[in-house]
Amino acid sequence: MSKRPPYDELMAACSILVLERLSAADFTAAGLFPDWFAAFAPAGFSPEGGRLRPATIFPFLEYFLEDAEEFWARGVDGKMVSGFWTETAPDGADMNFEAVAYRRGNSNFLFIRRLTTGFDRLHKVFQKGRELSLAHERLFSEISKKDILLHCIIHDMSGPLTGMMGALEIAKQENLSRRGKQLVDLGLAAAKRQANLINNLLDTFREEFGPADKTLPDPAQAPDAIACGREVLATLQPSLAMHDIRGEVRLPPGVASLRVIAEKSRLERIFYNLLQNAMRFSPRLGSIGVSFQAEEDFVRIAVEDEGPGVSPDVAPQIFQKFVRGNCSGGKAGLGLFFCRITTEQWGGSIGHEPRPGGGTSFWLRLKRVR
Amino acid sequence: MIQKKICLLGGHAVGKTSLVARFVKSVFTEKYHTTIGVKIDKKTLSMGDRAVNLTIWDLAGEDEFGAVDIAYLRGASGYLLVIDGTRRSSFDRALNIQQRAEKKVGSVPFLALINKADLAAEWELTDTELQSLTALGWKVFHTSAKSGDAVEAAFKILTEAMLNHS
Repeated sequence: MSKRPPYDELMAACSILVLERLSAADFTAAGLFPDWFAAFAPAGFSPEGGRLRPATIFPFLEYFLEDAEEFWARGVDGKMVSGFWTETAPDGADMNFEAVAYRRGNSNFLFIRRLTTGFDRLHKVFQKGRELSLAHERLFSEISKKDILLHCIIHDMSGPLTGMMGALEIAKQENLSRRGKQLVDLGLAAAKRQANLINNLLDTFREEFGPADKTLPDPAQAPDAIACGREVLATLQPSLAMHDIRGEVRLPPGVASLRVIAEKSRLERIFYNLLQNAMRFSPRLGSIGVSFQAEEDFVRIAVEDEGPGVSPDVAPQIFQKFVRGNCSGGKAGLGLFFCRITTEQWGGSIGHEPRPGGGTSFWLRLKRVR
Repeated sequence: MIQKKICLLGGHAVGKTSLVARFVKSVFTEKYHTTIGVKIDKKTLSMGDRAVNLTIWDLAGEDEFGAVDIAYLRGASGYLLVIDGTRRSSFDRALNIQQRAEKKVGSVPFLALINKADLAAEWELTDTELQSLTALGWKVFHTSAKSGDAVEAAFKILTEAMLNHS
């Protein structure tokens, strides 16, 4: 039978160096030496009764042992664990370690454990996580650069369009045949749709990349949501008529005006986007309603259509960028995204729900100004 | 022999371990190898007629997995704050880490290293941002662990500053 207790071998087999404290800096071996220690042992060091100064071998321990001294001085049984550290052995191999200050009875011990399999697994997890984080950061940066390029292209597209619309407006004043006037109107309507699309893109860019002005619009300048809704609906009346769709404003009894925290031109664009969206999905002879409801601190606005409803596949992402619902006809998928980021910037919220009897209700809640 | 402890601080993947490897072993690898906890290296520098034994503590980078363990700065005579020029996020993180480092060790010498100078064409940091660091009184160096540019010089300048500070 060996003279040494079996735990000596066990600790060494577990790659743990066990040292017993003699004084503030000096320790002596309290067991067998694990294999790895040979790479770090001082030249001429004798295991039998030899004194060791672990902080001279592992600089990491210099500061850990300061804390350990305080821990041992408390005289309470227990342990204190260091963080992980890595040292390079003289042969160039990196080894990972963890130290434990341990007290039992009147004896104070220092365990130094070489970390192997478990640490390697942990390292792989961190490595993968950080690589993914880096890849995400790079991708986000690339997308931002492409967004900026897209903005420049869109901005350049808007110049000639303004000229085209001006020319068509002038042509409209000319003595044209009925057919000629119809064609000019069609051309103007198409140009306006195109201009709106471009404005959505530019506004979206400004919201995302512009100066981070998070101040709410001035309540003194708060627009009347009902008047805005009416005006936008009126501008869309020719298009609605062309598709045999009826558009109406629905108000609660006795309410003629509801002022909200918003900026008028962008609120009009929100109405425009929601109404165009409703029109696109409405059947012939259907109706679109713009309803208003006054709550204590908010105004709830809903644009309701009688269309097929939002597909469950698209519903969770419908307010995200570049999501185009059931329609892909020349739309960038930014209209609802713009509605969301703008209402949220004003401290409001937006959503959608199925209408009883069919169709969809897109709603927004904006802060009410009394 | 004079003993000095230096710490390397910064966000993750800014090149701290690569800078140490370049300085201590004159090697560079493109492969990213993350650090957990702290990696300790040693190098002796000749500063005129004096030899300085540097213990270099390369602290794990800060990210969503964890903050830099500022307690490891205890006893440090100086530190290198590393920023990845190609990643804007590492700039903001470095500013934040520096404030915590100063709280822990006081106004010991430090240098800001804008690393990955070999990728200068891809830098996200603007001149204005870099100038804002010098306006804070920081000493800023553009380093490349890949080419070795300014790496040894940065360690030497920090060591010189530490010797003059003590």
